[in-house]
Amino acid sequence: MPAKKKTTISSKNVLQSTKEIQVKRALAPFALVAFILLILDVVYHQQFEIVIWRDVWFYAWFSILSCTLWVAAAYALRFFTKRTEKYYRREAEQA
Amino acid sequence: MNSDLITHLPPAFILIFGGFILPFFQENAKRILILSLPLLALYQSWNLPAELADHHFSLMGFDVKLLFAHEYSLIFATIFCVMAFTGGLYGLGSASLTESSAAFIYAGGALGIVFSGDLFSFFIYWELMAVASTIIVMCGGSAAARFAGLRYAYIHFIGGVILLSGILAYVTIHGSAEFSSLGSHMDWLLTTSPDSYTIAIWLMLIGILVNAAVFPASAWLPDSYPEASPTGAVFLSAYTTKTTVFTLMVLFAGNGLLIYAGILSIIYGLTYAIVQNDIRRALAYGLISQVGVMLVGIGVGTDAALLAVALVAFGHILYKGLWFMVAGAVIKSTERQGLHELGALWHHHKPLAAIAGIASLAMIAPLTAGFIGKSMLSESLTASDVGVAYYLVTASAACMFLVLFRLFWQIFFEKAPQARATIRPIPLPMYLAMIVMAAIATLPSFPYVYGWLLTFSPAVEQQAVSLSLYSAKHLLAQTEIILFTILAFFVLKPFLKTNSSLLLDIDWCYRVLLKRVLSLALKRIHSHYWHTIQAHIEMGVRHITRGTYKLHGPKGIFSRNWNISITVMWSILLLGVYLVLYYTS
Repeated sequence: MPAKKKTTISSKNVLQSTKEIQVKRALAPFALVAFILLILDVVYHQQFEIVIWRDVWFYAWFSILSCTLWVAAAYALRFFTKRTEKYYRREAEQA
Repeated sequence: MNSDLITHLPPAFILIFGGFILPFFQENAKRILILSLPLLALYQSWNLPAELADHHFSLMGFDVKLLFAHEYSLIFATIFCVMAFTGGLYGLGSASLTESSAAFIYAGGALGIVFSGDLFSFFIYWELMAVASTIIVMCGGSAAARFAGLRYAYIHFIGGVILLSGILAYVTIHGSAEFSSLGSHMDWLLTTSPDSYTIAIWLMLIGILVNAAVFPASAWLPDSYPEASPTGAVFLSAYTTKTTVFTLMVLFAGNGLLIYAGILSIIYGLTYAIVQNDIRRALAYGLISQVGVMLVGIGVGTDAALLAVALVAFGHILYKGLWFMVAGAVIKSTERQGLHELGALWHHHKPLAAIAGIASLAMIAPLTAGFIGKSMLSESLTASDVGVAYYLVTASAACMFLVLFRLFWQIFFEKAPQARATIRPIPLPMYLAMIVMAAIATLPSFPYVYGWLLTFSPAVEQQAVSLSLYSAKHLLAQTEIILFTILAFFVLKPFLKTNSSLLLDIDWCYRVLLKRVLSLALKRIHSHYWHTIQAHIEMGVRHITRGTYKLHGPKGIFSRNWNISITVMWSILLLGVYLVLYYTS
């Protein structure tokens, strides 16, 4: 009976690298769009200034920040209602 | 036929009457009616004569105006009729007869409010909507739908009673039942020694805010809408809350309290929407948050802000209605509505995925209805300097898009669960309705349609708001919100995993806590006072039995045989007395 071939790369590593590629692929369009936005920014204001950065990129970081905060708030809500949820579920099962 | 009667026929009557006569028609005629009545109501709304204020009649000393054009009546009437048409088309073949009839009466009620000129006709339409929408919820078919319908009815009828008390008190004090602004200042509403006028206004405001699903009177919406049938949920998503928005625009525009109510709704609605597992429950919570955005605009109360609110409502009905249609189609196809049971539907329903994508983008993206309203609202809030409310409204746009994108991604592109649901084809009328809605959702972005929509509001001529919304600033802002929210979604995806757990809401208080308190109280009563109560009841019953036996028993006065002559004598006597009284009076 032939001996089993030994793998040089563990499956965990393969998964890890595949995941990294996926993340990079997902982020690539955003990088491209960010670049286009920067060009538009320059064309729109005709010059590089700190104020341009603040004005044009406000909605970018603000969107990410607000989404993160809101998700955190939702998780906090879930955490605090967990205990009551058990009662609620038991009540529903009894009914 | 009198042409004046036709030109002054309230558009609401067409839908309400249509809803009542629908059951009497054969299947094909019924379908024609379902599709033609909303278009007829739309035609009637657009062709109402200018001098509507002259048409009124008197009832108990008050002017009743069944037809009155408010500033934003036509914008709301247009979208209500469009929604009745697409909702009717969506339900062709799948909605029950009761549901279709109730849906048309419901839509008619909303149209009636939009053209009401007095508080009495407004209230009648308001309650008509409450009854019809309760029937729609109950038409969901399941036991859960029936119970949700009952809870929906309790909340709305309590709200209705509060509103009616307010209206009656206001009309008695003010002497007028006109459906118009009640004043914008909130300082007299928050006075420490309120007079009866202030109490009347408060009652009206509370009664109306119940329908706007403002916290804590908010749980009825996510409790009932997900239990309705696919068609029922589409109708429900469009009318109750938007009619309330219209009512608040007419009665309470500029009232600063609404800004706080709006902020509360935004925070509450989105916090719940983000982690919901049920598709339609997530949409329902999102609906509350977007109504909150509209309340902020109404609270600001400038011409520009009010027009923006009308356009936000217009866009919101389109994209939220379209999303409810998509959710209904998914449920119809898979018989599942939990996100943890769905996934990878892209392979089976590519056109549906495309429509869901449009529905998500229509909230805010350029070239859609949502872009116009959001940009205009953002501009008017900046001009009004409302501080934190502006940032919250902007953040809510990003987070609402996150909710919609999450639904879109997890239904169509997420890995399918182990136990795969059976995939059935989606009925053609559903697809047609969704295509029509998706097309309409992009129409207002065209300058011609947009300009035409604005002509519906006479305030446009006077206001100084910039109508050139397709500026680089707005395009960049909205595009950034979309792109970076998508980026945030992929970063936060591990935290947005779906599971079947429940997220408790305020309804726990009356569904569980109240039940427990009542049962505890009853137990206490039983153990302490039951014997005394029982003894009293027994004594009372014995007393009644003894009395009855005395009268009707074998020796009772009523069981005797009476001589006929005595009866005749009494009859003659009474008739004689009557004749005497008649001629002497």
